Amino acid sequence: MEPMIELNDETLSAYLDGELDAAQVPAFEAALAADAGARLRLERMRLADARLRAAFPIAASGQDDPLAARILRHAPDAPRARPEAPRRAARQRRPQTLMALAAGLAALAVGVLVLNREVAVTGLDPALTAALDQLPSGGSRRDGDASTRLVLSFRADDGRWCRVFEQQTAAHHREGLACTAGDGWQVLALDEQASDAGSLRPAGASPRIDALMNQLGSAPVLEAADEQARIASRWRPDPAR
Amino acid sequence: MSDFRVQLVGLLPRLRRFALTLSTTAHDADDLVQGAVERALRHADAWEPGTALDSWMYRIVQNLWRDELRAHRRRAEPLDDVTEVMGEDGREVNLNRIQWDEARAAMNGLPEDQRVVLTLVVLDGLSYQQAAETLDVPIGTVMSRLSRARARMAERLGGSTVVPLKAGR
Repeated sequence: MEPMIELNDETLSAYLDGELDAAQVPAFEAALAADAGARLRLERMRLADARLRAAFPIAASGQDDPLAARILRHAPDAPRARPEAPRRAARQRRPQTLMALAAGLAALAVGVLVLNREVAVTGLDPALTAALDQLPSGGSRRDGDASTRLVLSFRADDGRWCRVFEQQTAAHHREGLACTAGDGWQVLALDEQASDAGSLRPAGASPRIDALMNQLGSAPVLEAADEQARIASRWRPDPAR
Repeated sequence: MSDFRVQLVGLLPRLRRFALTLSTTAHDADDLVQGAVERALRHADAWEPGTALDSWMYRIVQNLWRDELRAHRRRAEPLDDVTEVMGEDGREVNLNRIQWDEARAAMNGLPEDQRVVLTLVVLDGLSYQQAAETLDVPIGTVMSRLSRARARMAERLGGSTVVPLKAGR
C-alpha cells in the first residue's frame, strides 16, 4: 500500500514548488484528486503566486543606472578587490616636518638616482635598508639631516614584500618603492621633487609609483599586526598562499 | 571585467526587488540597495569566487535592513493597510491597478521573515535548499514560513472565500 501523505499547507506548498519527494508525488496526486477542498486551496495558492509575481516584477537596470556604473568603476579587475581608498589615504600623508638640509644628503644617497626611470639599485644605503627592515608604516627615522618615513607595505603577487617610503631633505622630497630581493631590498622606483619649504606637497604623489603598485599586484595594504609580523620575521619571503 | 563586479551588476534588479519587499517603500529600497552595494564593494575580499553571490548579497541586504530597524526603531511589521476586495462588478479599467495595489499591500502585511521566504522562493525561484542556505536556517523553517505566508496570501489574493481543508493541521 502506498504511504499516505497528509494534505496540508506545507505539502501543498511543497507540491506547488516541485519540492515534494518524487516518490511521494503519486500518492499526493491521488489524495488531491479525492479532495476538492485541497484542490481549491492549491489553486488559490497558485493564483496568489501569480498575482505576487505580477505585482513585483523585475525592473531591468536601465542603460544609465548610476549604481551599475559605480560598481563597474569601483575596483581593479580581480576577484579579491584591493581597497584603493586606504592605500590612497596613506599616500596622502605628508612628512610631519621639513628637515634642514645638510650634507646629510650624501648619507641618503642610493647607488643610482635617476628620475622617471625604473632603477635597480645596488649598494643600498644602510639607513634606507634599516628603515625598510624595521620601521612600521607611519614611522620615520632621521639620519643626519634627512628623514625617511615608511608609508605602506603590501605583498606583491609574486611573493615579494614591497614598501612605499618617503625621503625628505630641505631641498628634496622623494617617494620610492622598494621590494625584497634576496636578503635585502631593491628600489624599483624613485621619484624626486624639489621641495619648497612651507608648501604643501600635492596629494596623490607619484603616478608612476601608483602604476608600479598596480603592476605588482592587487593585494591590499598590510594591516599593522601583519606588518609587525613581517618585520619580526625580517621580511622573509611568504610561501604561496 | 571582474566576475564579481559583473555578477553584482546583473543582480541589481533582483536586489532592488528584494529590498522593496523588505522595506516596502521605493525610497527606502533604493537606499538599502545602495548601502548593500557599498558594503559589498568594501568587503569584496570576503566573497569566495564560485560561491553564490546572490545569497551573499541577500544576507548583506537583510543585515543592513535589520540595522536600520534597530537604529531607527521602525515598526518591524508594517501597518496592514490592505484595501477592500473589489466585488465581481468592479470596473474593468481600474481592476489591474487595484489588483496590483492589493497584492503589494498583502505582501507588505506579512511578517518580515515570511516576506523574505516568499521573495526568495516564489519571486526569485530559489529551491528550498538554496533559500535555507541563504537564510542560514533549516529547510523545515523555510517550509513552515513559506506555507504560512502562502496561506495568508491565498486568503487575501486567491479569491473571496477560502474553503477549509478536510484533512490537515
